[in-house]
Amino acid sequence: MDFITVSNSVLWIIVILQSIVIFALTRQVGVLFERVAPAGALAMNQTLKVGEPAPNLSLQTLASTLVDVGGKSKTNKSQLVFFVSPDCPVCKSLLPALKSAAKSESAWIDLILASDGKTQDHAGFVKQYGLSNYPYIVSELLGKSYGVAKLPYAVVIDELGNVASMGIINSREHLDSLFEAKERKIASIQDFMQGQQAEEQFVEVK
Amino acid sequence: MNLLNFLSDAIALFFMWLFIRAARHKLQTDNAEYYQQTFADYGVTQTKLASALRYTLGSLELVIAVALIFDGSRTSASIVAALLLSAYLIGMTIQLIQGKRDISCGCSGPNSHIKVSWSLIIRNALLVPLVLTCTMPSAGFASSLWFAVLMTGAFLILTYSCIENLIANAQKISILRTN
Repeated sequence: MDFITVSNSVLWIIVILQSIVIFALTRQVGVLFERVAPAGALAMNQTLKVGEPAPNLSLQTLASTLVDVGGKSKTNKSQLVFFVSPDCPVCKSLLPALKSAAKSESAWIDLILASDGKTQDHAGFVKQYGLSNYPYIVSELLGKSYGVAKLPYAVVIDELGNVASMGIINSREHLDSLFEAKERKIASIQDFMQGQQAEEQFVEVK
Repeated sequence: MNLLNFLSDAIALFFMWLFIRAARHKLQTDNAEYYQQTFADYGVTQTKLASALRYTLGSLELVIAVALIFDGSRTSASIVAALLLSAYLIGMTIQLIQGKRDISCGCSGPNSHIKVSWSLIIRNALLVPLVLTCTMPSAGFASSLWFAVLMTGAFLILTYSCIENLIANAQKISILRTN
C-alpha cells in the first residue's frame, strides 16, 4: 500500500469518527431537552401553605407610606412580595430581572420589596439599584410572618389574599415559575412536574 | 470512471438507507396509529385509505431502496424517488401555507417529534437534486473504490442524521422561546 492510500484511509476514518461524535452531540442536546425539566423555585416554607390566606399586615415603607401586604386586594391585583437584602449578592444580581418581570407583569401584579435590618442600610441600596418606584418595607415581622428563612425569597399573593405560590428565587426562570404556578393553580412547578411524571408512569403501566 | 459515477454509488447507498428507514417506519404495525393521525393532518381522514396509503408508500420506498443499489434499475429508481420526495415536499409546503405548523412531518417515525417547518422544506428540496445524481451510471463498486464509497455513504448518513437532530432541537428551542 502506498502512502496516499494509507493517508486517505486514515482521513476517512477520522471524518467518520468525527461525524459520529457530532451526531452523538446533537442527539444528546435533544435528550437533554426531554430529560431536563424546567427548574422552578424551591417552595420550602414552614409557616405558609399555598392556597391558604397570607398573613395580612399593614406596614410602613421606606418612603413613609402604608402598604397592605396580604388581604383582599382593593385594586384586584396580585402581590409579589420579594424578600431581599443589601448583603445578598444573588439578590443584587436578580434585581434587573425582577424589575423587568414587575414591569412586564404590571397589569396583574404589584411588586413589594421586603427586607429587615437597619433602615439606613436600605436607603442607599434602594438608591443604588433604582428601586424607589416600588414599595420597600423594612420589617422583621414581615419576614417572620411569612416564614422566610433564606434569601432571595418571593411569595405571590393572589387578589383574594391567598398564597398562590412561593419559593427561593435564584434566577429569572425561578421567578417566572411562580407566575406559571399561579396561572396553572398549582403549588409549585416541581409539583406540576411530579404530577406529569406520575401520569406518564400511569400510562406506561396501562 | 469520474467523480459523478463515484458519487452516484455513494449517494445511492445513502438513499438506500433513507428509504429503508422510511419504509420500516411506515410498515411497522406499531406505528399504524401514528401514521393514521399524520395522514389525517395531511387531509386523508378515511382510516382505510390512510392504511392503504401507508402500505403503498412503505412498499414503494422499499422497492426504491432496493432498486437504487442495482446499476440497471438505478436511473428509474432515482427518478421515482425524486418524484416521491417532491410529493412529500409539496404536501408539507401546502400545510405550511395553510398555517398548519403543529403537525408531525411524518418523516422519521413517531419518535422523531419533528413538526412541519420551512427548514424541512429546504432539506427535502436539497434531497431532490441529490437523488437525481443517481441517474448517473455506477462506477461499478470496484474493489479499489468500495472503501471510499462506503465511507462517503456513511458520512452522508451521519450528516443527514445530524441535520435531522438539529432541526428537532431548533423546534424545541423555538417552543421554549415562545413560552
